[in-house]
Amino acid sequence: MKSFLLCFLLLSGGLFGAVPELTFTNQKQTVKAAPDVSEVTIDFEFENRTSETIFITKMDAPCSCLSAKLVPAALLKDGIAPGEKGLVRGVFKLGGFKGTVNKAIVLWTDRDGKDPSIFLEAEVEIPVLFDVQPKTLEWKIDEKPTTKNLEITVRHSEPIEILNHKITNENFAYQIREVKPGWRYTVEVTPQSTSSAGIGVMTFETDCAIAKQRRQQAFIVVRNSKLGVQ
Amino acid sequence: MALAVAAATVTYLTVPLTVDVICTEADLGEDEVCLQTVLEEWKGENVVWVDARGREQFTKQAVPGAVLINMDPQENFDELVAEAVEQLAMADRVVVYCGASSCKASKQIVASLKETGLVAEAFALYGGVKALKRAELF
Repeated sequence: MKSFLLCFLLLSGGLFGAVPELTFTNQKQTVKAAPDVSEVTIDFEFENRTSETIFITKMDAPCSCLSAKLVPAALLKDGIAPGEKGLVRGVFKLGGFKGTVNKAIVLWTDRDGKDPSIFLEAEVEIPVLFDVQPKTLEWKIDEKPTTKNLEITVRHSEPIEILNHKITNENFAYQIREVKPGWRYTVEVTPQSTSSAGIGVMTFETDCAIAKQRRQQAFIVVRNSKLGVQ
Repeated sequence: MALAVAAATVTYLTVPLTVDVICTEADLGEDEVCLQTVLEEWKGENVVWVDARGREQFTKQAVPGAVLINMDPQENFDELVAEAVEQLAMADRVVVYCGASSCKASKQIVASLKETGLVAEAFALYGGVKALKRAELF
């Protein structure tokens, strides 16, 4: 993804001869989201180091989760005078995102044609406090029904206890072992039978203080192959 | 599982075989697929369509048999995946579409679905809804 973006940036510059007209302090920002926030603000600082006023004619963040605006807002109407500084402020709504998420903001200036000349990238790291790995446990049909494990690691400053747990398919028996209570658990899962395809969703309700991180899940699957072809 | 197969069958029965979309391999980014590949090369496979748009748009109109999975703050991604788990886990391939041809939501959903380990192959539809409309899938 990173190499793709880099190639895209280099290629777009080469193809369209686009020289950045605004000088940005950093066109790629990496932000670590706090576990309890619902949105993250990312500021891209810029300065007009040319001798002419530059107008931003269009801004686009190709994701409904990300909005972008100029700060101060008057820069949009009045243009960015030589020597003037400002921000492109991106507000990223975390929604269901987890892990590392890359989002782009593109800007057109009055000197651009069809293609934008400014590409900004925001990399947001969204922590998962109660981390279940792997997300899916799988057996092939007729595979020996051996026990396989889910490993749970608490990545938080405080311990997280499991309050409730369940699985939607009774074909899968499981047992939770506390490796280090509050911090590490192993879930041993054993299918009663692997003679036919079946799926279970295992959910863990925890005492995590952050509501949106309180519930985690894993999938338990018996299927014929990775492709699910019967 | 029967539901998933039925949904996939319904999808294929309603999909016209002519596609008026300009899409070549050269156009494709990582994990993108042309509509004609889905309709022609993957014909007969259990392809599950995932709609990455908002619930309102999905409710109004969607590819027959498609499931709703998005990253909207009003939705819960995990719950949406859990609701569609049978279709996803048994799919040969998953194809995700979103509202605009430049929409990146579908690629994000592809990445997130792959992270679950639940789907073997997931792709973002090149052209999104625009491509589907041209193919009269909408």
